[in-house]
Amino acid sequence: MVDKRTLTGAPLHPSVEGFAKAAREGRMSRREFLAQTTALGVTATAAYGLLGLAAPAAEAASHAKKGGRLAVSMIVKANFTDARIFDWSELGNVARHFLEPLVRWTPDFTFTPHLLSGWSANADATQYVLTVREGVMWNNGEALTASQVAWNIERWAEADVDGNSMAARVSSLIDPDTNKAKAGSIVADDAAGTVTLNLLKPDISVIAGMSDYPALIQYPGKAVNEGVGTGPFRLTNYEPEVGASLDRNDDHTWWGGEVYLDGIDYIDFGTDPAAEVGAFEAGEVHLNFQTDAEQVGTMDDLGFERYEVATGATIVVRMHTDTEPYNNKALRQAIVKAVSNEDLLALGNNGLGLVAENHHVGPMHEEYAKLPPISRDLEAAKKEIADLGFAGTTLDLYSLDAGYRLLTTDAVGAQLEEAGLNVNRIVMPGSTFWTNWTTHPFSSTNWNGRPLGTQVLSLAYRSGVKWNETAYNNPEFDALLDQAEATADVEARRAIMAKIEAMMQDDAIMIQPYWRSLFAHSTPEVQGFRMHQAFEHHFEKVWLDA
Amino acid sequence: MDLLIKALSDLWPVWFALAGVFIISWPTRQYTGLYGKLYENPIGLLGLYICLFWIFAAIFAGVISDIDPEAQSVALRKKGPGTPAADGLISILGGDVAGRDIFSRLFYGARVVIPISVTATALAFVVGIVAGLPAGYFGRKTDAVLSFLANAILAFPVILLFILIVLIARDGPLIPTLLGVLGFAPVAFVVVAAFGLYGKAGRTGLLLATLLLPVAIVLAWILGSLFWLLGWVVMAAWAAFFVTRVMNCGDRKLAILTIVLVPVLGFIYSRVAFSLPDLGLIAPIVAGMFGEAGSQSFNEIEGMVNNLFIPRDAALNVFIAVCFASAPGIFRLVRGLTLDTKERDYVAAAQTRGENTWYIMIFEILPNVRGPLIVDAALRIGYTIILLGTLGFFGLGLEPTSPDWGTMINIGRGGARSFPHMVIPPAFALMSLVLGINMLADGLREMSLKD
Amino acid sequence: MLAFAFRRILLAFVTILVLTATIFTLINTNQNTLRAIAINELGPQTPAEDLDSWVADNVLTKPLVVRYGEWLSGFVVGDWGESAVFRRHIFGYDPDAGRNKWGVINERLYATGILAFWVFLIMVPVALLIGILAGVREGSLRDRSLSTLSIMTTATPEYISGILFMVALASRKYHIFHYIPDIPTWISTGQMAYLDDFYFKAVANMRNGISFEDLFLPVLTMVVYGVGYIARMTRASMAEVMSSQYVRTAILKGLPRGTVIRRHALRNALIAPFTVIMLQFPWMLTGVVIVEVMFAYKGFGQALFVASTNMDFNMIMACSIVSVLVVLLTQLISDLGYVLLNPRLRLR
Repeated sequence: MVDKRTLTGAPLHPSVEGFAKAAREGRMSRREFLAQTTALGVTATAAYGLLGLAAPAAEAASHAKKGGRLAVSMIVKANFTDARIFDWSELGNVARHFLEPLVRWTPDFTFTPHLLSGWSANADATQYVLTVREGVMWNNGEALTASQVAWNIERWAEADVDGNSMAARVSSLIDPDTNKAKAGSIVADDAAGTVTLNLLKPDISVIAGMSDYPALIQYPGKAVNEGVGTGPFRLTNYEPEVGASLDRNDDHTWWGGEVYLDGIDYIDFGTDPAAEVGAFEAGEVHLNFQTDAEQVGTMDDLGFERYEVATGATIVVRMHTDTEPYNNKALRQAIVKAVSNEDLLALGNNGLGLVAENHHVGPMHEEYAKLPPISRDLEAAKKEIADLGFAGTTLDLYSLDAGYRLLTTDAVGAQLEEAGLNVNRIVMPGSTFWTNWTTHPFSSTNWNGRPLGTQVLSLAYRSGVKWNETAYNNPEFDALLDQAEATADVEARRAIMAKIEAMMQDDAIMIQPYWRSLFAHSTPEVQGFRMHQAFEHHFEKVWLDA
Repeated sequence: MDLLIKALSDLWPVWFALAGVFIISWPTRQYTGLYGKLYENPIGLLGLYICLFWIFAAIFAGVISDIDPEAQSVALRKKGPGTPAADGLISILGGDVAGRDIFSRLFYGARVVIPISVTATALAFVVGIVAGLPAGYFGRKTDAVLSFLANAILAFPVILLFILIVLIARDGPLIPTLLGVLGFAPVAFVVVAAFGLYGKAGRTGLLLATLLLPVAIVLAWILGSLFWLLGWVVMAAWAAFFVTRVMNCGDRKLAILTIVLVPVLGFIYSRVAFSLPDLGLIAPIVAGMFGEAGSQSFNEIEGMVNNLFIPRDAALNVFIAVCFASAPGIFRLVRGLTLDTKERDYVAAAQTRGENTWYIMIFEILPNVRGPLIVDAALRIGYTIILLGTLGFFGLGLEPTSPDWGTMINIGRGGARSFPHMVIPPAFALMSLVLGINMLADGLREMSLKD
Repeated sequence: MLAFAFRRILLAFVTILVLTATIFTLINTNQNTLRAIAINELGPQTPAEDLDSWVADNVLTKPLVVRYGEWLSGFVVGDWGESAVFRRHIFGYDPDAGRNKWGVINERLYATGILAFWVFLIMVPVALLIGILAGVREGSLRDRSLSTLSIMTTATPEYISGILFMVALASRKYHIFHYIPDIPTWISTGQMAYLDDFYFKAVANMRNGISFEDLFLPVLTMVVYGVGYIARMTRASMAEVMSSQYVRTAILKGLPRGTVIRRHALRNALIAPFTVIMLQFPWMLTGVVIVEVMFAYKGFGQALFVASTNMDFNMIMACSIVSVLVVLLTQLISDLGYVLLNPRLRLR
């Protein structure tokens, strides 16, 4: 029997029904549901259907016009040779137009097959069968084969390669003894066009990992900048810090059909957001990678189209709890009490985002538990600081030297000064700041969003982990976190999270003022563009209405 | 228009002060020498009064602005001139990107910019003079070594020098070392000057006196935090030794001056170079004697002293960078002037009289080249202000919350095209002050040419 | 003369050696800068231990002196290494380098050279003219107004004039062309119109070579700050010459004033400005960094700024050397020129 609801026609994955129930009852966010179920091989239409919704119609492209070059303002980074070691989404953006991923994470937060035509997972998520899309050609004239896909996945699993971040995403394939894919775990069948992954342990994040920006399928033996790929464009120039150009590859038939743009020019205007606004005003660019929150109003005023997406990206102004005087919990609590997260959002990020609650879990996570609201209590904070004998103490507050990180940290400083502390602001450019970001006594750090609430907690707040910038060391917290990670039931997990969140608030290890919304702007002629939650550019169906 | 009137009326203490200066200076201009002569030169006079305007604005910044320059308010964020702020106040020039009142920051900015640029220039001058006089006077090897050093520093583009000092050296030993070296110049100057007056007693005395302080500095690095005590012991011993030498030689007035000057300079030096907790030692005593209120006002006084001598990290880097960058230029100027002057008759006369070489340099040559030096000093303060702004522009300078004009320009320039009110005021402030200084220097030059 | 030039060149070499050794030591003995170098390879948010072990394996492999020696010998033969930021060879022509056969420094110096060329081409004549006009009649109204103008420009550093120009000439909302009548439209339609859609660009694009619009604001900004200083020097020099004995004599002899100025005064009056103009090159280096960063002009100054904020070690060394060379070379030319131009010194 063929099940129309899945990509491969395999039966619906057993856990999907449970997710659907949770989503219908409001225990799981719609976005989370779509991501989870499509990762298990459910089609986007069916996933919407399970919620009783209609899938958003793809943009009608009948009136699309062909022609024109799209100019995009974006930092053009170095290290453009091997996709698996890409460390910036900007690198992926250039490459994605001629190298394609197996799976794409859409702006609707669903996973759709791209170079695959579908996949299916077994009940306990230990075996995945990936079906390679038929008719995909490399731009050197060869057809894409299952073994080429397998070659790529094997390379992802090479955990010993410096900077290979794909290894963490396919960790369930890796033999800890050899730090490579375990023999027999990746089986390619060129005749059937399938790749079977036999995982060492259950893993529901494999498909999600294959949609990330380093997960681009390369032609065996060719570096990224050699330009051999399956995508509709051809790389014509790549110059870090200056720009990159792609032309539509008319010698190559792309499996996805018609592409409208003649070419894409990425131009690097440096990190100064003012230069970018200038570029827009001068008519130099059509679109940018991201609009700095401070420039959103300006760009709106100038009549450019705004694109927005709410995410789990955030900033934390955290204290290193091993360092004097931040090892004093009462002082930390007073510091947190002395600032208003609403004000920090308004002053630091132009009011664009969602107020957060100092525990790094938010409403975009399914296990988020709502706690009683926190608020600024200046008088109490002032009194506590004075009682503790810290009135007039000078605290060094570190941050990067520009943008929302600078402004937000400045605002924290100003509010702490109102509470009777003396704040000495120290700003550094990236090269200096990141040299010891985990050990700055009191500083701000930005974090990208992750699908699950427990992921960041586990990365950054578990005792002794590499990225533990607060030196948070709370066995009780660790135990609860382990418990939460082992609890599949969202409802039960939320109950544990409520405790964890309250614990983090009480320990006052950081001010986490807000969740950022991400923005981009374009000139009115850009059509068919959608802001992606991970800044991905998909320009195959973008066109210019000149 | 209302805003302009309000701005002008808020500036009343400045107008009063300027009027006061004029009322006193005009009738007495016959008797006040070079300063009085400025009143006959319209350009110089205008320049002088622009400078005075900013000096008074800096002094009265607290009276002029009713809004706290560092407080951030959501209501003022990016809002244009005339926006109502909290407590029924009006923000005359609007708020910046962080919701701080620009009008207040402008005048508090003068408080940051003027002291740093003046003290940094002054220190650079002392360094330039202390090195330039012997280089020009002795020539040969002294000159070769010092000139090579100066030229090497000058060969470095200022901006690269700044980036290197501020980025690379921000937490290495370079900044303290430079401070130790540059900051030693004023002390050395006093030593040399005094020795020049009384120094016929012999070279060993000079040598000992000048060497003891560096010994204390070396001790500083070895002993770390303990130094401040030891350093002072050494300093006191040195001063005592020195003063006895001076006393033996005669002139009481200068001896007393030295007794006063040496500890004061030593204090400033140790304070700036090592941020020593000198006042911290007294704090508990004050608290014990006067209780809570006493220790609070003590804290305030200490804060003022701290701000005066620029011990804050970021400002210190800037101070050193600026000083280091301008000293070689001054060195070259002084050296050139010395070369010119040392052939003069009065120098020859002093040599025949058998005067000590240091006496000749400091009391014969230096006063005779003061004309060009004064003009250069004025110009250089202007240049230093521009440099400070450059540092601020690159975000290399002071704290990002500091109201100095360069930083304000840097923070505001991102939105300059949509919110010009955030950058134009500091830009004009900086421009007008530098303009005033240049005009003053021009006036002074004309005066000195007429002499 | 030759001996003098030779000595200066020798001294320049010693200076470069001392300076590069200093920077080399400073960067290589500071843990934070070493880590910053590692960040270029390993990415930000890499834990400090990993950065340190990378540094130990890749940088601190040999004693400092040996590494400096290696760097120096590479430098001398034109192998300036690869830039960590630009991911290209820094200097020289490399036929095997793919698209960018010329090094970063070569390309960036070319772009900055064009900028500098236009700055000097406009700045020098304007400044000399202002200076001469002002200096010919010292104390006249013309002198007063021109002098005040030149003082004003010297009080307007690039980061101020740049921003003012940006707002006034290159902002869609506030540009001054909103107030300038569009005369052709006015004539053809009879309706009063303004140049609302006309404004300059505040960023250099440089995709298709370097165009007028790429250069306009950067050049304007730099000229404004530079012109005043040269003008004042010229004025002072001119005024001095005009009051000298031989010019007074020539005028008293009854020669026409214009002839005296052209034949006798100008030549001598331009000696001092010449040295000043040569010494403007070091100043240009600072100005170029500000202007290029502000207007995203991809030249040497912008590369220098990017390299130093990202601790791109090889680029920092290369930029330092180039800057120092420019300064020393212009100093040398200025000194030699002074000797050559000045008849009194020529005889010695």
